[in-house]
Amino acid sequence: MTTSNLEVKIIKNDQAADVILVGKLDGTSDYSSIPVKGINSLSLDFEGITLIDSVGVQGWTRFMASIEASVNITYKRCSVRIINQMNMFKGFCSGKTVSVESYFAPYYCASCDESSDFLVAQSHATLSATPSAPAMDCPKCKEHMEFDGVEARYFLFLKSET
Amino acid sequence: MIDSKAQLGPQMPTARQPTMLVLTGDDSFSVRIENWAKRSQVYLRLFSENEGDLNLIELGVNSIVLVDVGSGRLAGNIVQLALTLENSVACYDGSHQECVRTLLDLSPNAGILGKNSALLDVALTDLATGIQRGKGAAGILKTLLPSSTAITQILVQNSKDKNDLLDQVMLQAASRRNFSDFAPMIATVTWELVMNAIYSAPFDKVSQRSRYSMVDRGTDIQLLPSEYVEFCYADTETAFAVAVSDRFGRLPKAEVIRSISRPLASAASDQIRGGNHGAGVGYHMVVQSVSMLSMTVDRNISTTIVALFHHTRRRKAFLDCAPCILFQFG
Repeated sequence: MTTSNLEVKIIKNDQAADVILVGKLDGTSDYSSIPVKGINSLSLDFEGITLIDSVGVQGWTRFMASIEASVNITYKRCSVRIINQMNMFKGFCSGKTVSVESYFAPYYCASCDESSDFLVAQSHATLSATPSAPAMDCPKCKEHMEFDGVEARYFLFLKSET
Repeated sequence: MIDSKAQLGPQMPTARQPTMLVLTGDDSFSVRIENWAKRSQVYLRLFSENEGDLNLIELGVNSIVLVDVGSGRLAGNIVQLALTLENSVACYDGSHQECVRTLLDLSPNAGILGKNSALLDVALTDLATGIQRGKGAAGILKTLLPSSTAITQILVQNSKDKNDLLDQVMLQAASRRNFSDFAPMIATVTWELVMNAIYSAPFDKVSQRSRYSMVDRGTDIQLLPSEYVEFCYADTETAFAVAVSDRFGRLPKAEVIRSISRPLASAASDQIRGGNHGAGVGYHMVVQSVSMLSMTVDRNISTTIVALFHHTRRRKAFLDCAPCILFQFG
């Protein structure tokens, strides 16, 4: 039997399941323990994902497709890498409506010459035709940090999934 | 406008000296490539637009760079001649995404150089050097990187080896304090290239079939000695490099280009239906993550893929540099 490179931690309360994913989304990923029906809501926490490969994307989209249509799906703590995949692959959510509750956004401090990712709640981003990054100050020098990406591309996932 | 008869570097090429033809109206780019040619001892012929017919054989040209090929500024006959050469490339001034879209319009014989790439010099050296047969992953890295660069070599004999290999690469890449997903990008590319070399490359000449392409990629396999994969990585002041070499030389260029340029929405849905282990999706992920990608195929002998990632603290700076994608098929 192949050992999965993905650890799945599930907290199930009545009609809701909160899932924390840790490790790699690859060809070994096993989602069979995650409830996909008989619940009202399912949240998926991605902060612990270290790698996602092409076979992993395939497996992920199959898993997403298997979730019952009536289940409300929420993505949490999406890393920059996961955001990249969501923006790269329109089929990442298999056509399901997904609410992105929180995600990491990259920032750069010119004074410190350092980059950092900050956790952003979805409500902080302006949900207009051109979503924008929230203002952020450097935790070290307190100077204003610039968003380290192209906003129009980085926030594509917000426009398509919410 | 550049003097169309300008000849730079040595007055006449030596018999073994690479000869490169550059067709451009971009003066600043011309200066950059002139400086590279002087350092690299490449015989360079610069031509501006609207030149007449060129006899490439007489000129001894073994590589061509066409600048701004998408802008319609180049003489049609030169473009036609260039597209018949194995080493012709187009130069494009755009971001990662625009670069890949441009590749769609080119002949399968062409590669692409990002004009604003941070690793343009390395890519030009790779182009000018031509097909590097028999060198393997370490040999090609030695050609492209400074001579003092330490190269770590790992021979992959079992698919399980990829996990330790990835840990080593991630550790080194993360030590550079670049933007946050620099190391994860390198990890993804490394994983994709090594997995392809292990599961997709081995070919049984007797049965004329791929040995492991139908094996689930979660299944561990012990490779035969003829199937061992050579993996190398190196870290310089300018870039992080990984290289993977198999012993089969069966990478199909047209399929790679098709995979790279196929719209990702359809690529993802195709993978679900076709179940072809995500190969098309994989190449696209790789191209979206690199500063330079060089694929050298010595047909039925070996395939070597080199991926370079230029060092920068700023993610936007990395994304703004158009990648260089080179194919050398022999």
